[in-house]
Amino acid sequence: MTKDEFYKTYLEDPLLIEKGYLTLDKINELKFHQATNSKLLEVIKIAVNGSIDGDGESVITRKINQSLNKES
Amino acid sequence: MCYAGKDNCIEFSEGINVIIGDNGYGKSKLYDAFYWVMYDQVFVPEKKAFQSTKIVKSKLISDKAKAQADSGRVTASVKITFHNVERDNMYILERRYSVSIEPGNILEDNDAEFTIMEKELSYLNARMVTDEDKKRSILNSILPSQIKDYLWFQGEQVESIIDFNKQDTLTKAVNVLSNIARYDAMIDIAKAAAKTATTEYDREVKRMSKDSVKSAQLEAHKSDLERKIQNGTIEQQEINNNLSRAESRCEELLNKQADAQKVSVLQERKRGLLNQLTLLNQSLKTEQVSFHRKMFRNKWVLKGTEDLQKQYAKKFSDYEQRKLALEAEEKVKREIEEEVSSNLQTRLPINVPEPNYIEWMLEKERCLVCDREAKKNTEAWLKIKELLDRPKDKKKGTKDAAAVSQDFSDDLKRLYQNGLSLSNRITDIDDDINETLQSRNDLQGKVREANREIETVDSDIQKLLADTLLTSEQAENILNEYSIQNQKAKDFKEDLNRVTQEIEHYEELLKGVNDQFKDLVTGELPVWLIEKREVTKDFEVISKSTRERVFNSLIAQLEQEANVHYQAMTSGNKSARGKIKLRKLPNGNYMPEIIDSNGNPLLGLNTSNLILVKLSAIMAIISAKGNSGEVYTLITDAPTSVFGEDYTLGFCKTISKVYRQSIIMSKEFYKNQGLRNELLTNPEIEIGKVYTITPSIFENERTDRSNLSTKIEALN
Repeated sequence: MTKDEFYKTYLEDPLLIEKGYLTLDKINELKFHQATNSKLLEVIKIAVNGSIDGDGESVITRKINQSLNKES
Repeated sequence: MCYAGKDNCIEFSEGINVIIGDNGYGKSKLYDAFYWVMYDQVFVPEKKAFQSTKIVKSKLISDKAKAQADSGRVTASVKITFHNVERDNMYILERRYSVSIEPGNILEDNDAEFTIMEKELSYLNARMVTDEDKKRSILNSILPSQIKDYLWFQGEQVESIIDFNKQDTLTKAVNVLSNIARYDAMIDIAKAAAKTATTEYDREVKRMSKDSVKSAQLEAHKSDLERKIQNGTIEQQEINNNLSRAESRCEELLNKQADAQKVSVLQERKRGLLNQLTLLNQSLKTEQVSFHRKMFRNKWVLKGTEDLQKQYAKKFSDYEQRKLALEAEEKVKREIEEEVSSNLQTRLPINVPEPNYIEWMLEKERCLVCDREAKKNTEAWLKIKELLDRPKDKKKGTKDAAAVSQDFSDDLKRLYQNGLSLSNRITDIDDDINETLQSRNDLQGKVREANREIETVDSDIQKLLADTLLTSEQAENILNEYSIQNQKAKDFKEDLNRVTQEIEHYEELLKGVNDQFKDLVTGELPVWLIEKREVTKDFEVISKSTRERVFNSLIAQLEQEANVHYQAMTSGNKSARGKIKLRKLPNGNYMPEIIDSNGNPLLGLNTSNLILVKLSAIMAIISAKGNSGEVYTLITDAPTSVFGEDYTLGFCKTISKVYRQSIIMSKEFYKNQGLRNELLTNPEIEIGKVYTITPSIFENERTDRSNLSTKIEALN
């Protein structure tokens, strides 16, 4: 399973649209390597990336934390 | 074992390869040979378990080989060559075990030798693989351990591979054969991230609190609530597991219950018939006794005595006539006597004068009537004496005295009259006997009918019990256990509701506590921190829901695939019904069941159906794996032994579609020549190589194994 395939399965979750993280038309267009403005999608990408690359849970969690600590 | 000599070479090709042999012909030993090479173990029937070479030792070696060797080394060796035709590379796996024979003694080696030779291209020389890691890697590429159970199995193991009693076997299979574990790992990551964010957020809230005492109290309360929620969640999971177990057991029992109920109904019917039979037999016995009594009571003994009655009537008539004649004769005689008597004395009535006067007159020799002398022996004296000798006056009725010495007239008349009245009934005796015989025949017919029905019911019960592998007692127990499990399921549901409500209540309280915490905050919480908390929470929710969605999709795919195989295997079999549905249990696991076109579970499925569902699920798992580009060989011993011959061809057709190469050992094709021809010629079956195996000595004649070998013959 590729990172893109893995990532896509999360993009299909209805909660992303319900909570306004994503619009329906963007779901099919989005690719794993494309940057987004959504913090949640970026978090998912970090997790997917680490998971496929075989990183440990704590490493991935730290990366997620760091990405969310930035004030933007 | 039973294969001796160096010529036991079997070549397999793509498609379905079949080894045909009856029971005891060496099929399982062939399966063992594969297993031994891969795992250094063989199945020991006496122990009903796989045992390693270290334990089995010299039993691995053919008795014939041991018997023929006077001294020196004797070796059992199995070599398997795996040829990847696409890459044209080869692995040659060989396991050898040797013993040293001395006169009267066998020295056993402890271990077997195992070698792997590798050919990068089939035409190159083979190189021995010495690196143990590489050896393991090669073995795993030939047969990955996680899917071994679904690829190499014996017929009897099908039950346990997909065990309906262990609800998670299907889930485990999905986990092993799919990427679902990655989604589980994502949930762990999301949980950890959410926990970190929440801890950070709570710390900040506490730091910014205007009332540290109140905050401390709230924190303690919060911890308490969180602990309660955690405990409640654990309890909820346990109840869910229990509920799932009870529901699946109910489901399983319900399936059997239908059979059990059928058995129970049939047994009830049998009991009724037996009671009816007892009553009928009693009536028949009574009728039999009554039949004998009727000989006298209903005067059947008179049957055929019509002539006797006529003869008797004639004799009686003769008797009466003779008697009348005698009486008439007597009467005449008496009248003559009376006449004589009256002639004797007409002047004086009888007894006049009285005899004492006469005797006195005779003594006095003088007639006192006329007062004249009557000297003794004179005419006058004799006249007087004549008066004394007169016949006595006959009493009235004397004339009716019996003419015969013994008069049986009255008795004979009564007999005649009785006979006459009975003779009138003789004509009815035949009807009476006929009616009685008819009634007895009817009863006997009813007894025969009841016996026949009992036999039919018995046969139905036995058939049902054989189909469901139930005993009569088990059938009764199933009904009892079903009601127990059903009650348990109800209780668990109530418990689940209670615990769920408790958790909801604590969560509500926790929300209140969190709000109170927020109210104590002075100033503004950092936006990024609030956002971090929300994002990680959403990530946790999404990771869970995505996992569930993917898993459900895998289950749907598995269900669809299993149905394709199920329909293929059961096509042409009238007893197969419905379609497979993988039902979700409260604890998230799935159970296969068969439903009708309306989605209702079908009950009373026979064992063959259930085995087919399991095989379909196994094949679905394997074919799903096959779709990902991985190809493995199925090796199975007697897979069809657990269901009828009807399914064998369907099974082979499906096998040849699902597995690129399969090797099955089967006795069905040994017994049924028609089935064997179909196997070899059916275009829907992608046939590989087919062999028959025949032992030199049949199992029932095998007192001495020292000359036992097995002949292998190719059929195509």
